[in-house]
Amino acid sequence: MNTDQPTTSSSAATDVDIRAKELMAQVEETNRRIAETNKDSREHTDALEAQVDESVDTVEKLSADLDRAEKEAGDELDTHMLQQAEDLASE
Amino acid sequence: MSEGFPQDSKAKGAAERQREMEEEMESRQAGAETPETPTPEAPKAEVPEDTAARDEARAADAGGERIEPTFSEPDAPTLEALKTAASEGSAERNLMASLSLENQKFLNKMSEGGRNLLIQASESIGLDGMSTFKTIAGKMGVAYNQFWLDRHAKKAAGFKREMDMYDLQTGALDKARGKMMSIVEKFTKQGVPGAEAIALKLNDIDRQKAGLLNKKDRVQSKFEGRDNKVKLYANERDRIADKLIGRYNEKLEPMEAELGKLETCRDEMDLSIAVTEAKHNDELLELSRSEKENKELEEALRTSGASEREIRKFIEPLADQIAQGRAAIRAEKDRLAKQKAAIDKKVAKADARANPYRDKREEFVRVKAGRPVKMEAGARTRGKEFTGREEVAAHPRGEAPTLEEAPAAGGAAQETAAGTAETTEEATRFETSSLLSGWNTYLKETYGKNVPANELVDSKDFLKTTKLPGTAKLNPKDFKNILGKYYKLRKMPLNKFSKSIDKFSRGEKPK
Repeated sequence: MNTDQPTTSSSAATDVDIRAKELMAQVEETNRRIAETNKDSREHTDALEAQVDESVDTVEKLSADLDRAEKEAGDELDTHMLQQAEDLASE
Repeated sequence: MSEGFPQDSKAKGAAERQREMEEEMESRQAGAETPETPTPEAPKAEVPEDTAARDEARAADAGGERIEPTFSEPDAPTLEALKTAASEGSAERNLMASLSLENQKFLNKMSEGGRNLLIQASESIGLDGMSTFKTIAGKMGVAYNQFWLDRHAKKAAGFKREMDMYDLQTGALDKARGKMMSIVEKFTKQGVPGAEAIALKLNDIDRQKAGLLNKKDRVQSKFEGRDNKVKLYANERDRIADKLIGRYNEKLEPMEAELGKLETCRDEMDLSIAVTEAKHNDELLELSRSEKENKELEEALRTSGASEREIRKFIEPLADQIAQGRAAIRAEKDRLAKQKAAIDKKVAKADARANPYRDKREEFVRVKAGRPVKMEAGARTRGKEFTGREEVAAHPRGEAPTLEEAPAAGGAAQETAAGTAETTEEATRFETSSLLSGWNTYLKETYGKNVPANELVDSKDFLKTTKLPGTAKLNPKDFKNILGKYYKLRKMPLNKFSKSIDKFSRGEKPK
């Protein structure tokens, strides 16, 4: 029994060691997958955000064009009204 | 009117009454009395009651033409006049400030009457008249209502009334002439004397008629001139409006397309988050399993008599790794939440920037729909000159697609915490491909032929869009969440199937 004990203890320790290593490999693999998931997620959402920025810029540009068009039309209408008022006053 | 009869406001000249009113106002202002408090020295009887007289007086100042009132006169005109006088200067300053440099120069060169007309136009709009001048639709409205309707059209209506009166008189003369002619003929046939004297009267009638027709012609010329002027102004205003509406049409279409893209990006973001969450749930499950095994290992070591130091040597590195994995998931969840909030903010901002233009375009079309009143004036009337430009077709703005979240799937996306997955360790998980074919079969069995092919999920597209491998295992809750987001992204009828998705995810059999 005494002679067996170190052998058993050694074997158990080895088993534990193997199990621990397997477990560690398993967790490392999970963490690798987590890193991959996060990387994919970041790449995808960053690309989406870039598209959003591009569209927002386009909307801004189109809005600025319309602002300019409004300003021009406003000035034209002002001239039109001023002319009309002057015309009416001179009748 | 007898000499001794007291003069009322009608009897006095309108300009004279106005001068009296102004003098009184000036004397009150000089007395530095509170304008809001009517003084006993200013009895109401002193103020002309006749609104027509007041309007005439105002017209005299504005350029000699009568202006029809466009708002009801207050009971205390003196007070109103004081207020108007006080604000007149600021009204002109505001008007000047709203104009371009070129138009400011124009305004400076304008006559007093012309400037007064503009200010009156702004006053008749309301208290914030000047802010109306600052918007395009407001300017268009002023160009139509204050000038056409209140001045040109009413003036033209006056001419038309005069012409109609001449027509009536001419008609009466024609009738009288006809009767006289028949009497002359009768007398001549019967040899009754005096027929010649009646025939002479006919000449008088003819002269009167000629005079009336001449007068009518003069009025008609004025009327037609006015009518043409109104049309010229209308066409000029329409030209400006059409140009602007054209620019709006040109720019709004791509703007709608960009807003649609933004909506799609937002839906795609939601789907991406749902897929990541499902993957995280799967990974958290694995970490939980590893943690359980780690605990079993710890127990085994303790049972075998290993020291605490030895136990820690095995257990701690694993526990650290598990903690790192969970921390990485937490960090990504936080990052995604922040990024989603940032994207939502940008989309909302772009939408808010674009929205007023959609509304304004419709406003221009509505304002432009105001046309001068058509008045027929016999053969010489130059009517129907409109080329149909006011018929510019309104380009209906594209309705944003109705996207509704599945009630059960909506909240789940945000709330799936790390711990949740750990507690669902025993939950049944299926391969994504099996879930998809199961869902399509469920739909067919529930709705039969009422489900069109395009409402079934295209597995290929689903896997491509979500970037999930067919073999990826999902629990029903995650599948439901992802499916809901996928339906939304693909603009499929999520609302129609939301109850079925719930039942399917609970594992209920189809009806």
